[in-house]
Amino acid sequence: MMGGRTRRPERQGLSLDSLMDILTCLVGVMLLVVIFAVLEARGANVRMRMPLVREPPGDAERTILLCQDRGLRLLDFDIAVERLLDDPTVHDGTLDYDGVPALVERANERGFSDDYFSYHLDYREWTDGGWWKSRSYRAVEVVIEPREKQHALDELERNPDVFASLADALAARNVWIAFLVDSTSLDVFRCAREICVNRGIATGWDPVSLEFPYRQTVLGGGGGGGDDEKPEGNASTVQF
Amino acid sequence: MATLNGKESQPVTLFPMFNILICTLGVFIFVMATVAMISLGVGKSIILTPEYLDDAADEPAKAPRYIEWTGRDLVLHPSRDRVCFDCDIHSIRTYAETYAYIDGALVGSPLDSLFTALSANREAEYVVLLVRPSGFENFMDLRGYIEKKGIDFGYEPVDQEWTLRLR
Repeated sequence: MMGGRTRRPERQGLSLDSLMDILTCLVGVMLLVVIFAVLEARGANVRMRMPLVREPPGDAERTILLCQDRGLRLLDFDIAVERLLDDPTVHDGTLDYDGVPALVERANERGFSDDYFSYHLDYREWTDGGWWKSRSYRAVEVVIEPREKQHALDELERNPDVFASLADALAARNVWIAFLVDSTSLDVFRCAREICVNRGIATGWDPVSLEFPYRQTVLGGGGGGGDDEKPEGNASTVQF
Repeated sequence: MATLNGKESQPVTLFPMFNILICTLGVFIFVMATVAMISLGVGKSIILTPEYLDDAADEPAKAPRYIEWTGRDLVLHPSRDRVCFDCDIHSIRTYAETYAYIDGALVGSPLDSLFTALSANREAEYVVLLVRPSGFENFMDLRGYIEKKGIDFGYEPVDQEWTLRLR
C-alpha cells in the first residue's frame, strides 16, 4: 500500500537558461547590426551614365528642359520666337530697321506664354565708344520670365506620368533634349533624363544657371569684346 | 512543522547581476562603435558603375578614363593625382590665355601625359569629366580646352558631397 507520504518539493537552484536565451538573442541582433554597418560603410553603388559627346541627331530639333531651383520646366524658346515674330512684315519681307519698334509693339500686344514661361520682346538702342568713335546699336531681345508651373523631384518620383506625357509629346515632335542644369537640380535632371531615355529621346546636358528675367537677343545686337573674349557668367555660353 | 533551517537558505549571489551589467556595457560600446562606423561611411563613398546611354550595340568600344572637376582642381581617378589651379579659369580674359594657363599648370603632371596619350589614341579611350556643382560656373572653359586638345570626351554631374570610388 502506498503510503500517504507527500514528497517535499525539491528546492530548485537559480536557473540561468533564460539569461542564456537573452544573450543568444542579443548576439544574433548584434550580428545583424554588424552586417548592416559593414554594408553601409562599404559605400553606395551608383550606376551612372558615362556618355560620349556626339553630334545631335541631324533630323531632330533641339528642345530645352531647364532644371533649375529643384524643378524642371520646358523652355520652348524656338516656338516662342516663332510666335512672337509671326508678323505680316516678316512674312512679306517688308520689315526694315524703322519698322522694328512697331513689330515689337504688335508682338507684345499679342503676347505669348505657355505653361512654364511667359515671353515678350524688348527693343533697345544704344551707342558704344567715345564721341570721336561712337557706334550705334539696336537689338530685339526676348525676355523670358518663369511662371508657377514646374515639375519638382517629388512629382517626378511619385507621379511620373505627368512628366512622361510631356516627354511623349516631345518624342512625337522628333526633338532631342538639351537639359540645362543648375547646381541644385542634379536629382531632378537624372530622373527626367531617365524618363526621356526610356522613350528613345536623345539627350545632352550643360551646366547652366539662368537669372530671371532672362534676356536673349534675337535680332541685331553688337558691341562686346573681341571674338576670343569670354562672356560673363555661364548662361551666356548657351546658344538658344 | 516546517521551519526554514538557517543552513538551507541560499546566500544572495550577485554574479548574474554583474554578468548583466557587463553585457549591457558591452552592448553600449558595440552600439557606439557601430554608429561611428555608419556615420563615417554612409553617403560618403560612392562607387560609380558605368552605364551607357546608347543601346548595347551602339555602346562605345572605348575605355573611359575618369577626371573629376571641382572648379579649381582636376583629379585623375582612380590614382587621385591632382592638379590645382591658382585662379578661377573663367576669370581669365580670353580663351587663348585660359588654354595657355591650363597647359602651363598641367606641365609634367600625370594629367598632361594622359591628355597627350589620349590625343594619340582616340580610337581606344575617351575622357569622362565628372563635374562637381562647384565646377559648373567655369566648366565650359575646361570643356573648350579638352575639345581643343582633340580628345573624345563625355561629362556627367556628380553630387558635391560624394566621395568617388571608381573601379
